[in-house]
Amino acid sequence: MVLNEKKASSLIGLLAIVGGIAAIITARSFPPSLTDTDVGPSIFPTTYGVVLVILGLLLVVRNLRRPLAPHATDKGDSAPLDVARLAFGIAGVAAYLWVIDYAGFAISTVIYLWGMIGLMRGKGGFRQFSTLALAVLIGLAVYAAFVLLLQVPLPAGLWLESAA
Amino acid sequence: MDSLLALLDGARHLISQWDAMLMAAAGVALGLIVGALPGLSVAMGVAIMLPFTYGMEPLHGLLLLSGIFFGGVYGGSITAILLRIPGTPAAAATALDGYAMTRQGKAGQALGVATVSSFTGGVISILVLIFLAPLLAQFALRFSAAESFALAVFGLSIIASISGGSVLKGLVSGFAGLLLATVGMDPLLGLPRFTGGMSELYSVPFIPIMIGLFAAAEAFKMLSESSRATELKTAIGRVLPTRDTLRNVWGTVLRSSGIGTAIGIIPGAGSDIAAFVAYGEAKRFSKTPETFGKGAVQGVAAAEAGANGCTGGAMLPMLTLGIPGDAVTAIMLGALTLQGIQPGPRLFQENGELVFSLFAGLLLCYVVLLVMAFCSLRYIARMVQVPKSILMPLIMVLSVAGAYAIGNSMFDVGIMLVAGVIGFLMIKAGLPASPMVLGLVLGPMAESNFRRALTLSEGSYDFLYTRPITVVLLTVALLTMFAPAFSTYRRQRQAKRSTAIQSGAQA
Repeated sequence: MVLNEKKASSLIGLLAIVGGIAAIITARSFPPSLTDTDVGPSIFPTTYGVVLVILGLLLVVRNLRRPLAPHATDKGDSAPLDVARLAFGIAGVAAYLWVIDYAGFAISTVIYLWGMIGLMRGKGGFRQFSTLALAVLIGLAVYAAFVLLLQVPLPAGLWLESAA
Repeated sequence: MDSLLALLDGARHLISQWDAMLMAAAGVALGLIVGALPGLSVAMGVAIMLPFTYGMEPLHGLLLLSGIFFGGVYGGSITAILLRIPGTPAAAATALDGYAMTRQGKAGQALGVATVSSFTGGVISILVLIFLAPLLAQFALRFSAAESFALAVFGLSIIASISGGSVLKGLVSGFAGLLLATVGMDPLLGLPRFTGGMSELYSVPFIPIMIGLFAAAEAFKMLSESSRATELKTAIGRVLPTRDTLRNVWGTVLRSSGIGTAIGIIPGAGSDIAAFVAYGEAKRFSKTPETFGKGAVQGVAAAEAGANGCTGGAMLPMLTLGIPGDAVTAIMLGALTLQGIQPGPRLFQENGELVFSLFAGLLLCYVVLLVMAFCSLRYIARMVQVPKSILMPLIMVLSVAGAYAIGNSMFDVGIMLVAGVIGFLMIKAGLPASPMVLGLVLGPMAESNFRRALTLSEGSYDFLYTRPITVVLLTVALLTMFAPAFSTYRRQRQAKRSTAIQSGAQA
């Protein structure tokens, strides 16, 4: 399955419609203004929601009426995308975030970097020594930059915390 | 005169803080690399480095980000000249003649002229910023809630002009930003809106969204691209421009710097527009316009002076009015608020020393850029050939660490990831991210000031048409909003008319 400019545009249009409707419905439960001189907390979100629904509809309708153009004239990245590869990329980051909670930032970052560099290098990428070396070097450099240089704490991980 | 004395005081304050000067140099170095790396935008570089500034003194953090901004705008020209790959949109104008010069064996001359022109354009724009900013801030001090609302509307009106190919897509992006900006506490009543009971959402997670939109989204995009880097096949040669070359381009550089600064002050008109307008004007003024596009050194000078002239200009409305002109200055606005500093007219009264130290630092950034560029051009040209297989995971790791560092919270990292996926979809759909950023920044300003003005006028809407500054700002906003639609209509009408004339002549 590929995601081209037209499909992505329609998807964004649908998201705008759903987001707009959700905002309008939720804003109805906001309490009214306490004074006669204020429009209250719901008027701005409702207005934005209504405009977003209209714009989303226009975007979807315009895409439906337009033939598929492989080389679209707008600034969109018209090259089709392999959705499976993107899903893998997002799942990779999600897994990375999940592992951070347990293994901490340093270890999980090295694992993530090794996986991603290996994947992007293609066939045999995981087996190259330089992939692992780069993962360790970059991971430690980022960790050192934040924790040692800038003194910004990064997650130590549940395993390390329980061991301590 | 007051500005000059304040600038000298600021410079004295800056010299006493060597680590702040070091940050400026580090920022320029990072900016040079970010700008030169094709696919990495200046906005992305600034967004990624924003969390690093959290624990820093305001001056240090702002100089780091400004250095990235300036270095990034210039850095785009390196790959544009050597490889015909513009590192930034503005560098596309530089590539027109820069790459032609490289093919003629004059790569060093093109790089040298680009460097000197960038430096001159940047310094002139900073000087304009230094002397104009206090005057504008003084004027803006008269603004009450009604004028501030009109100012926010004016800032938002540029959405149409920064929408790129499609105004509709720009509006979707802008209104999504405005809606997102309503998440959190109501500005007048203090009631939570759209928070779902989560205290993390009591204020809009602005910085994780920025990191997601500009950095993580770009990393996801890289996943779908080839990881092969373009090989540098040319010898660079002498970089330092000769006296003859400088004599040949100085008029173009000065004119283009002025054009760039003026365009930079207009919210919404970024360095890419400045570079192309300056290039067009240089061609118009040239005695040999036929050489443009075929390796004219004035073409490189005009594009670079114009693009860098924009930098100081773009910071003017951001610092004095709190209105960002583009995505980069919007992120820098976020950096100021992260440090507890409110940009706007009062900034000069409340943080005068900081502002003028920053101005001195901005001038220093350009001096550092000049020296660093001449010393390291050859190395940067090779460094930018980093494969995407390393860049993509590195950007993602920095995004995760940066989003976490802001509030030590994995919730922010999750927000960054969601924003990254949406940002990626936006890239694929051709939706620009800048309008969303503008909506996020200016939405709260518009809402709170509108409601405050309404309360002050006891529920009457007459503040919209009885206050002169408000009326002027709202009128300009309306004109700005409909200008792109009007020019499209005129273009279509002209095209129809010329087709009709042609078919009439054929008949």
